Amino acid sequence: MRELLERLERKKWYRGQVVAVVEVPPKPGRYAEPPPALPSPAKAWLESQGFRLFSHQREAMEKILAHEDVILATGPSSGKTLAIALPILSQLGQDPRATALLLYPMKALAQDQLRKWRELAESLGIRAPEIYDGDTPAHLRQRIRTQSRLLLTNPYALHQYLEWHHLWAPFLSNLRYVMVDEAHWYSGAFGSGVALLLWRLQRILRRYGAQPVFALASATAGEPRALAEKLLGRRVCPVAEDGAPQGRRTWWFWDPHRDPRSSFPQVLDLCRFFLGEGLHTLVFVPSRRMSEALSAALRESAPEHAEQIAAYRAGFLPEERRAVEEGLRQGVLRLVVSTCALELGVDIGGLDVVVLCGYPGSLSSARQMSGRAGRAGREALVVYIPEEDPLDQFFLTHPEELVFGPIETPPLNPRHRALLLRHVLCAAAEIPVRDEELAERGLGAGDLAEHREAGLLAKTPAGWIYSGLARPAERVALDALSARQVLLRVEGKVLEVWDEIRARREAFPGAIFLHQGEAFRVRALDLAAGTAELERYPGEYATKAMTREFVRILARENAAPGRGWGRVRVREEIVGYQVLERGRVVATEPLKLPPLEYETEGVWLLWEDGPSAGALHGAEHALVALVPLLVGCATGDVGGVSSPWHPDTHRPTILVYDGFPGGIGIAQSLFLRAAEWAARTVQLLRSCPCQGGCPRCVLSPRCGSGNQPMDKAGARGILEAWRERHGALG
Amino acid sequence: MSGDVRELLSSAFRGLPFGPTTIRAVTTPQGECLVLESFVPLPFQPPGEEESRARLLSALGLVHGIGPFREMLLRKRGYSTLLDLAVHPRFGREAAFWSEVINRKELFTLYQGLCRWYSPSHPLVLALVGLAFPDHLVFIDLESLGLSTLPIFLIAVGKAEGTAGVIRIRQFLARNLAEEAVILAEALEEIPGDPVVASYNGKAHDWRQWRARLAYYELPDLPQAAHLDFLFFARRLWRAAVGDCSLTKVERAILGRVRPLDIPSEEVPLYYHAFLKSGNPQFLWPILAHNREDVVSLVALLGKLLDSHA
Repeated sequence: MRELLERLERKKWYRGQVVAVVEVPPKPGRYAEPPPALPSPAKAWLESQGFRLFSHQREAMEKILAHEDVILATGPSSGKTLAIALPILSQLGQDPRATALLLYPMKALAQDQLRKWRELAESLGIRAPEIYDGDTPAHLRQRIRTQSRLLLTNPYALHQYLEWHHLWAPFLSNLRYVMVDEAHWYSGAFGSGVALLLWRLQRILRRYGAQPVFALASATAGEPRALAEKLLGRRVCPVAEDGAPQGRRTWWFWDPHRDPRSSFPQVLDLCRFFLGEGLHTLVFVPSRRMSEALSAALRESAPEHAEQIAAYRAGFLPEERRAVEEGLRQGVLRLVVSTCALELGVDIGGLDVVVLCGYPGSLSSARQMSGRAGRAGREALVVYIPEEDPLDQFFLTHPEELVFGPIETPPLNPRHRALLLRHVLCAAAEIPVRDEELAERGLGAGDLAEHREAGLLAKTPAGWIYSGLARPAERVALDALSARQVLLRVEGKVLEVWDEIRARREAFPGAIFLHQGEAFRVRALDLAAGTAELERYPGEYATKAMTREFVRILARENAAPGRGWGRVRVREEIVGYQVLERGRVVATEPLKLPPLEYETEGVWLLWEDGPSAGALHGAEHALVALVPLLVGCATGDVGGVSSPWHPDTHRPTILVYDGFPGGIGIAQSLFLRAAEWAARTVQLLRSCPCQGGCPRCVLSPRCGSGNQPMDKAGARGILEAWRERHGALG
Repeated sequence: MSGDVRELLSSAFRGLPFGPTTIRAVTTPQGECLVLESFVPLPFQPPGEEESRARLLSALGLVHGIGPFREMLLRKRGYSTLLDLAVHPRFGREAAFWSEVINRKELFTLYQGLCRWYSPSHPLVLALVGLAFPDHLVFIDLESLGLSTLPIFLIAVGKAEGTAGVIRIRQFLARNLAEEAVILAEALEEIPGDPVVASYNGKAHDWRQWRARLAYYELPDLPQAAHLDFLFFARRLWRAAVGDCSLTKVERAILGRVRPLDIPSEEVPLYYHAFLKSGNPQFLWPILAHNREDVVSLVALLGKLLDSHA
């Protein structure tokens, strides 16, 4: 890699953009024999394939065979699926009545994985697994329900089917295994909803006397045990020591500001360089537009390699995706420009170089993506090119954080009251809910008063039963934190279903957003009807809403010197939005939307007299920008306010609130790690070379007050002072 | 409350053109419910058992391998009934099987065979009525809070009283949803073993929902049933004339019945909810009337169908 860098340095267009190089030493593999409890047909199959098991694979298999719930959280391409599939399938081979349920976060992933499971099942002589979800044809459903032993589905489908559990009686009574794959996807509102879905599933399983083993697979996550326990509500053994070998990996940190041109031509030059060197390269970009633009530009500027270049995104048809994956595996394709779609567990073999254009939003994703680099023990290269964003820039100046930093813990709140109250309706429609069950979830009969008044629940000797006039699974979206949903429609078809609150923030008229890497623009938003009309957007711009927030503290959960957290009431006014081109503001448009009010959780930092409004404002922006570093959420998931005198604290205050109504645990996490949070933010402000503030540190495109007042030096000062005063504790 | 509901309903029903209706509270170990009982004369002569048997015995298509063409050939060769076919070298065994099934009046087995080789709304299926009458034939109509697995609050079961030419209609009413489990179980007692169940879209809807609610409370399941789903028979015969063949349309167009003061089926759940909320039993009698009228129509419709296929 050193020679490669030298060759790069000799290029005329190179301007010394590689400002940091981090080496990750190679790691030898740790192998293990198949566990003795694994039945012989499976062992024989392993031998025939010449597979050596990694230590973590054996550990996971042992636990599963010993009926222990397990979460396997190791790196990409570490054979997680095999570690779980083999014991499950082999046990299904031993017991002809046993059944297994495989849960995937998305339909597309289930489709991709079906093939793998099918092949393995066939080799072991088990009846092929089937998918059962919204796309399953009606005439096949009964047969699949009654005859299949291995079913793949997704949470949205399961949410609808649980009500019909009596039609699944034989499958459920004999359920021995439940696999939950890509468990790290279950965070935020979606994750909290899935946790409640799994609660409902477990109730139903109890009725049928089934006690399956739960096996979860996840990308490397901070605290996998905590994630699993929040999802399942029970103790789970973590297996996180990755035994897969790792070749030497080098990271180059690229500062686009060294070159007067924008990032795009720089990435182009770099890709051409790699192609010329004969290296297999995968480039991750944030949007489909960019993936197509880059691959087209590359083909034009390097026509001799045109056949070896391809784009990849989730919007492709399955056959198209298959073709690119195959091409990569075979080595026919040398350079693929992809959106995050390839982050998921699709097998594409290894690559020599992975380029990350922009920070993918979480360390977990960054690890997944960079984990693609490395072919059979050869040296691999990861190039990180930040965008104009504080978090992106933070990693440029703190490269070790990106490479070695601890992975975030995804926020997940299965006790979210509003969500729980909605899922209770679904639960009551499936099996009468007893008072003891309510108590277990932290609810009392009084909490159900509203439902009772509305005629949705009735108390009977059997328990609480659902008594509404419409199916609850239809009225309750899986991840609905607030009562109203908005359907986002494009050409008549529903693209996504959002919370009303998210819809206001991100689907205002004129908003441009990405759905799996594809860009859409909102033509109209009708909150009363709960619909938004979208159209495909081929252009170059992005949008960010500008909001003015007013926050009042309702109750304090906990406090420590200089900080506190608790329930807050937020009022958000969206005053307009900014149109951005490659991170630079090109226009500002006004908006007229009714203000939004909701209750949630917030965390606050306090000062004694002194800090100016500008300093507090700058510090607030910077703190908000770094939230994703500590908590596995997106920047847009939190909001902030600052004031030299807050009506509820009577002091200079910065308050950051959880943007999910009801709160999903972000505020508490920040409270517990406040010192670290402040320290990181100071680092960001110190290392940003700008004078008075820039988009990479304190200027936020979302600011409803136009980033006024602003004092970058002051911001750094007050945070340093806070750290000195209060940062010692925790 | 139970006393008030019963009294108010009693007074309401005395004034209606339903004839005498007894209303009593039933107490079971699981709880209470109300049962309303009334009678409706059978407006047609049910097909005789011998006649029905003969019809079914001539269904050569029940045998696997005998399609319409082969049936025609066999008839030409003098095989006109399954009994005749019993000596056939290839089809004899199965023909004998079906003759036995018909002889022993194994209604569900027959129904499955007819559905498989003919169709669930084939005229031959109506012949099951002659074998089922009187004890194995039931007419059902349910009122619930909505589709799929939502709670049921009213179940009507109509059965022939011997051969007296009268149908006894029993309506099981849950005065609140705590009584749902009771009416599910009590109405279940009305269903005979090996039943022939007459309904309107009941196979896909009422019956399915009843089973779902029985499972919800972990109560015993309904028996396997032969379904006479009149919606499908009606569509076959009258779609051209009547269009979508909803029960009210068919009632008006084919039976010439117009219900006085009826409420649309979609509103029934709203009335029940209003009753639950207010406690005012006045909301109940339109539901009870509607439910009973549905069963009366089913009975009349059966007559019409038998006529059309005579």
